Amino acid sequence: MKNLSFLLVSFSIIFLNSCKSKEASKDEKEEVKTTTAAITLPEGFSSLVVADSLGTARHIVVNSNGDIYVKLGDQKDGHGILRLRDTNNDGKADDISGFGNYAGTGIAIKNGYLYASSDDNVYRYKMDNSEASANTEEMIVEGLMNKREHASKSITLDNNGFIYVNIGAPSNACQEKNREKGSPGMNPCPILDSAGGIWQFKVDKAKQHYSDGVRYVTGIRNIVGLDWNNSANDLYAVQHGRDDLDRMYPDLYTEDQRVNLPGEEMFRMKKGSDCGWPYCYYDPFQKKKVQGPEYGGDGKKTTGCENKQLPVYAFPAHSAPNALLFYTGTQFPEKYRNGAFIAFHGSWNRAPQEQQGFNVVFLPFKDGMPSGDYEIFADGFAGKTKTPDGAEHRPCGLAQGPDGSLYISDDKGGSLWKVTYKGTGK
Amino acid sequence: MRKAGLISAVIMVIVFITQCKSSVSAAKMEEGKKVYTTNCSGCHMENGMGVPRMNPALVKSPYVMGHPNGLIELVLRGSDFFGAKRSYNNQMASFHALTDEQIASLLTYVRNNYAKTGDEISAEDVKNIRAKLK
Repeated sequence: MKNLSFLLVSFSIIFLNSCKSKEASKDEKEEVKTTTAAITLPEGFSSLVVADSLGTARHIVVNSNGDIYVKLGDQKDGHGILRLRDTNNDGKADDISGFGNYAGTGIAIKNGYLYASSDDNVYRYKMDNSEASANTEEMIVEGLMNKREHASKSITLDNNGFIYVNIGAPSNACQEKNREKGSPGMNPCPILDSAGGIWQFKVDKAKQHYSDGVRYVTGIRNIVGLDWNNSANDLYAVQHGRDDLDRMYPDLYTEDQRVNLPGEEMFRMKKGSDCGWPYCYYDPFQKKKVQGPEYGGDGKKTTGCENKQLPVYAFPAHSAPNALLFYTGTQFPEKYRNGAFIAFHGSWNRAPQEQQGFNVVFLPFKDGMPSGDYEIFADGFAGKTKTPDGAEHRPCGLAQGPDGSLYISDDKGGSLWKVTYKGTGK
Repeated sequence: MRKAGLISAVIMVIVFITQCKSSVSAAKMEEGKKVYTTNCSGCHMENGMGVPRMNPALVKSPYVMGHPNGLIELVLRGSDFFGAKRSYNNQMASFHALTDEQIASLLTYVRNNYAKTGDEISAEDVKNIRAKLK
């Protein structure tokens, strides 16, 4: 009898534990700490947390007086732009104010104006006494495509009075039915008329529409990180490549292939460049553009892709390059000058395999072209769990300060880091 | 004393068995997990937590925990189900090409793995909703 009781109690414990273990995934989120993680950097570099409660800090820019402007993906206290100031020179923001009642991603400063974007429009503000003046808000571009998917509008400016605006395609591969297995790709893809590219507008003309702009680059699925490279005098951008090859075409692709294809492409763009989406994608192992399976491709055929623009570099698939910055400062050692920093938001379409990104990498450049392989510059943002949900921080924006420091924003934990070089190497 | 111990142990077993809802067919859960891994885990993730802003979490989702008919319709129609109310950035495809059996196994797995509803969805349930949508 005693043994029977013991047995039953033992069973009870087993059942209790089996119930508990099923709930483990549910509890993971609650265990995530919100304290700002220490990021890892190369020797000689150090970081300081400028602020850590900014909300969805997307792109950032630093003014010549050291003020930092942060574009928020979701409004905070009714503001879509935050101005951060350090009044006591301890490196931390102690005076934060906000303006602009719209969420968005893009932000830039050029020739006395601050530019910022919502998912529909682009605005600018006059910089009076070195500060963006909220009451000078002027809409310069309006009515851009916004169907939620890939809707963020990143911006950069050249030196000839033009602003470049990414208009992401609200689609994975321009199928008749988005992301539906078996649905064919549309040819020609009608999305390309008003999205899937980068448009050029004038910086100083109010309320421009598509008809006032120029489709500068086409054949882009989505871009979040772009920058005008002043030494090369060209537009560069890093693409978020297509998803789901094996789910759509299990007979043509394995899970491993979907995880590693396509490469996240960095382009040096010229007016009229066609980067190939949705008809083609870049296979970094074959080192060529191949035809997408929605358009008759089999993973090898290059039909229709022969003249599409090739990338100047390809990063690991699905890593989500969310910011690109060409470093022009003199604070960092020589090798960083005119090279590219790229902030990877971190992947999700590599599941169930290990995710990639959640870091900031450096790619050396010479004469406007990559001159070596990338190296991880800043890491440790995700913390213990390297997934979009579990990560404590996700790098999203990059900016260079007037003293050559590098700033990194995070739209998951709302932190902002300032990275400086104190080493002896030059 | 012994008797009291035995009774309490029996009660505990009953309580725990009930909590675990072990009436759901293990074979159906296994089949559902396979369908989930192939078709759903890429966006909703294996742990059902989704991708912030882009793909919704299934854990604590009112659609997963709610009446099964709504969830069946959602899978058959994709994000058209939400119309203009879609609150995540990525569109979800319609999964009408899956069989009634596959959807029944999938949603039995999803509801029990992520919401512990303890119920089974039958192919007949899926067939009925599919017929209404035509």
